[in-house]
Amino acid sequence: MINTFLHPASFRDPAGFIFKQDGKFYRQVNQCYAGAFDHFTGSGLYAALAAQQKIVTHQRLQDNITGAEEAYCTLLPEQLGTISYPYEWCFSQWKAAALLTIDLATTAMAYGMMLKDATPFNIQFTGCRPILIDTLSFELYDQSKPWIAYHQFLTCFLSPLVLAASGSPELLRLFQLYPEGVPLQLTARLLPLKNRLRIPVIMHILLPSWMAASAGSSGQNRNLPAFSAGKMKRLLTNLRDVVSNLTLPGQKGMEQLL
Amino acid sequence: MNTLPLYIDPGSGSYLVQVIIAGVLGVAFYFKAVWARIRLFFGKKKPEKIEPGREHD
Repeated sequence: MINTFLHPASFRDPAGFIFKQDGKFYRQVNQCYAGAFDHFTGSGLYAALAAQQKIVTHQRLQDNITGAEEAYCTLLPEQLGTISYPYEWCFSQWKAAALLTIDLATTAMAYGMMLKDATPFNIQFTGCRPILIDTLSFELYDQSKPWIAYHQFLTCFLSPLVLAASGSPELLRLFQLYPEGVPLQLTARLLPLKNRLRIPVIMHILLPSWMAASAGSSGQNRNLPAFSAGKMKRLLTNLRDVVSNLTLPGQKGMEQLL
Repeated sequence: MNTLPLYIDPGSGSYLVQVIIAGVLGVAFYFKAVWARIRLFFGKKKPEKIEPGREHD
């Protein structure tokens, strides 16, 4: 394989990976993701997100560039000019990325899919617009299951945003120390008391951190009631409202002036 | 390349948390709807609200 390099940040998802060849980035989709990928493109989800400029566009190639047996197809994504990292973002970029993530999950639901991971590393900015760069972030939606990326959304998006909105915008940089997500217990400890008493914080930060501390991993095997699409919609709508209402101290006054 | 069969940590207790939160939101939604009907009965309309974050779409 001459001039072909696996991207060091693309190693987790067995569905595929990014590689670079002759100065261009490509994405290989593996056989294990073939069904989900066909649904993603065939259902119209990709077209809808591309039309809304919420996802990086791609061109599907006929060649198997890596020659790997597990390759299903190879994509040539739109090549992005500037790459930024979440710990370089300002508050409004974090907020825009979080809202995009929720919107992606909501749109995916309408097409029978669900966003399977919620990390800011999957978001980039083209101009001032956030877009999803991980084309393989969607899985087939099982209505009986809750959002698999919920906990990741809380630690990777909500925790930094809530800490910044509580009066410490510099704590957005905490994500540099915790790139897998700021632990909810830590967020709860760092929040001032008046912020801890807010209902969204109790629901999405304190309750999950208490339950993780008390239940451990035993929660996985319990006979729990099935989830539903209605519950999922309510959860996503609530998360959107919570994120939308977060502002930096003093920001509300400035918005009124503009 | 090493592949991990479960590359996302489902988050211990995350399922139960979502069940509880969805339940609480369902109850809140029900009472909101009842309250809206009561207001409508007395001729009060809900003020139109621009959804935050969607103004520039």
